[in-house]
Amino acid sequence: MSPGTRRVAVVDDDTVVREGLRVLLSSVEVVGAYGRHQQLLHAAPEVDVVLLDLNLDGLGTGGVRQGGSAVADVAAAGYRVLIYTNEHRLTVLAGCLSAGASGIVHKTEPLERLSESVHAVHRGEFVITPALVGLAELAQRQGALPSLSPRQCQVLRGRARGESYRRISRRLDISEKVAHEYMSVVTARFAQFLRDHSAADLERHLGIGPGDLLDFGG
Amino acid sequence: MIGQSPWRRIAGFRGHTLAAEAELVMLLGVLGIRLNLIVQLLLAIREGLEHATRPWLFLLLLAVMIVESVVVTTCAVRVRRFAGLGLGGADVAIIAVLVGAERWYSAPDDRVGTWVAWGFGAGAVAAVTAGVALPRWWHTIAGCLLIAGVYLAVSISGGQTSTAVNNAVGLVSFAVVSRLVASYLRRLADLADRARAEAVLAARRSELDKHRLLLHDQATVLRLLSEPVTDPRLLALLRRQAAAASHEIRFFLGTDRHDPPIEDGPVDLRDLITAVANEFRDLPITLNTRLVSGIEVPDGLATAVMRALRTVLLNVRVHAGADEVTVHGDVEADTDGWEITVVDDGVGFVPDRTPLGYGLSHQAGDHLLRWGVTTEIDSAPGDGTPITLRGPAKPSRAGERHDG
Repeated sequence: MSPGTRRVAVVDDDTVVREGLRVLLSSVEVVGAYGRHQQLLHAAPEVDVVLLDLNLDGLGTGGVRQGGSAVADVAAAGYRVLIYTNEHRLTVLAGCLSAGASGIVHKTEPLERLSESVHAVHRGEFVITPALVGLAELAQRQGALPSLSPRQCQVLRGRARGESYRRISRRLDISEKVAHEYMSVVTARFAQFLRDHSAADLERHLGIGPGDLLDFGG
Repeated sequence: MIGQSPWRRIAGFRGHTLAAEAELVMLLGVLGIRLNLIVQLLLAIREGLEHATRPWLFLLLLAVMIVESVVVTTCAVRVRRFAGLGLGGADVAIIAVLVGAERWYSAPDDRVGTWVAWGFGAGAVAAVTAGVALPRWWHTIAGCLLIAGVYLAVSISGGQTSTAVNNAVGLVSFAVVSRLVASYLRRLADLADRARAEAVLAARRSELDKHRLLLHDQATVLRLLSEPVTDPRLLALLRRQAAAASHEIRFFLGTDRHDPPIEDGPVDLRDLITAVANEFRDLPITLNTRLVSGIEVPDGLATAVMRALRTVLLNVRVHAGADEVTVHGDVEADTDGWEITVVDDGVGFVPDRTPLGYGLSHQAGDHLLRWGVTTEIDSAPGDGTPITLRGPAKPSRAGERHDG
C-alpha cells in the first residue's frame, strides 16, 4: 500500500457496490466490506474511513437498524463515517450529519469525487452535497452560523450557487486553496450546528420536511 | 435568528417530539413559579425574624422550603419533565407539613395576609404541583384538598375566617386550572405527534408507489442494455437513455420538489423555478431556492422569467454537457430585489466571441429588461456558465404595458 492510500471499510447491502469499490477506487484500499453495520462493528477493522450506505434493508421492512441509527452506532464506535448513498432528501442527509457523519457523497457522482472525499474526511474535514450547501447558506442567513467571517460567507454564497472554487477564488482574489479552507470551516460549523439541533428544530426554523429514515427505531 | 437556547443546553434537551416540547414548557413555568417563591421568601426573612414567635424555627423551615424547591426542580430538570406520582406526591406532602408547621412559629394574627407565615405562597406552589405533576385527576383533587385543608386549619384561628376560606378556595382553583392547562397541552402535543407519525407513514407509502412507477419506466432501458447490442447507433442511443434515466432517478430521489400549481395572479418565485426545473428532469439539477420562498412576482413577469429560465436550461441541455447544474434564488437585503442564478459545470464558452442564440439574447435579455430585470452571463471555456437574472422589488410597469 502506497503512503497516500487510505484504508476504508464499505457497508452496503448491494453486493455490486461492496465488491465493485474494491477494484474501482484509486488511492483508497477497501479492507473490509459488510452488508450490515453490525457486522462492521463486530469485525472492528482498523480503517481510516467507513463508507456507509443509508438504506441497508431495501424498503426498510426488515427491522434492520439503518439511516441515522446506523450512522450514530458507527460514529459512536470511533469511526469517521462517509455516507455513500442515493438518498437526496435534505432532512435525511442533515440528520445523518447530526448523528455523527463526516460527509455525504451520492452514488451518482464520479468515483474520483468519492476518493477525494475519503481523503478529505480522513483529514478531518466535512464533505457535503450542493443541496446541503444551500441549506448551510439558509442557516447562515437565519443567523444560525454567527461565527463565520465575511470572507467565509462569500465563499459559502458562491458554493451555494454552484460556482467552482476556481471561479470563486478569481472573483474574490484569493487562492483556490484558501477558498477550500474557508469552505472547510463553513462545513465544520454547519455540521456542528446540525449536531446541536434536533430534526424538529430544522423542520421548524429552516423549513425542510420530515424524513422517515431519520427514525431511530428498528 | 435561530439557535439552541441556553436553557435547552443546560437541560440537555433535544425535542424530537411535541410531547417533549410541551413538558419543557410546563417545566419552565414551574421553575419560574419556584424562583418567584424563593425570592419572596428571601425578602420575607427580615420581617419574619422580627415577628415570628420562634425566629429560629421560622428560619429553619424557610431554609427547608428553599432546599426542597431546589431539589424538586433539579430532579425535574434531570428527567426534563415535571411529572410523576413520586416527585409530585413528595412535593405536596412536604409542603403540607411546612404549611402546618406555621402554628409553631407564627402568631395567629400573622397567618393570613403576611409573609411572616408564608404558608399561602408555599401552598400555591404545591397546588400547581398537584395540577401539573400528579398523574390522575383524583391525585390532583386529593393533593389540593390536603394543602387547602392544612392551610385552613392553621389560618382560621386568626380572626380572618373569610379571608382564610377565600385563600383556601384559591389554592383549590390553582390546582384545578393548572390541571386543565397541563392536560390540554399534553393532549394537544399528543395529537400533533400522532398526526406527524401518520404523515410520515403516508409519505412512506406514497414514496413506495412512486418508486414502483419510476422503476417500471426504467426497466425497459435496463433490459435492452442487458442484451448483446452490436449496432453502435443503438448502443449510443441506449446509453443516452440510461444517462437520462439516471438523472431522472436522481431528480426523483431529490424530491422535496413538488409540482407547484402556477396560476393567474402573483407567482411565488420558488414555485416558478421548481415548475421550470420539473421540465428538465434529464438534467442533474440541484435547486437551492429556499431563500426566495414567499417572494412573489406579477404573473406577466413570472411568464417572462419562466421563458428565460427554460431558454437557459435548454442551452445547458443542448450545449453544456454538464455533470452538475445549480439553480439558486436569493434576495438582496438592501433593495429587496431578487436574483436567480443558473450555474453549470459544463464546457462553457467565450461570450464575446460566441453569438448568442435568439433564446439567450431575446428571451433572457431584451424581454426581461422591459420588466427591469437584468441578465448577466459570465462564461469561460472549461469553467461552466453562470447566468444571473436580477429583478427589482417593484417591477417596471413598461413590461406590463408591453405584455398587456
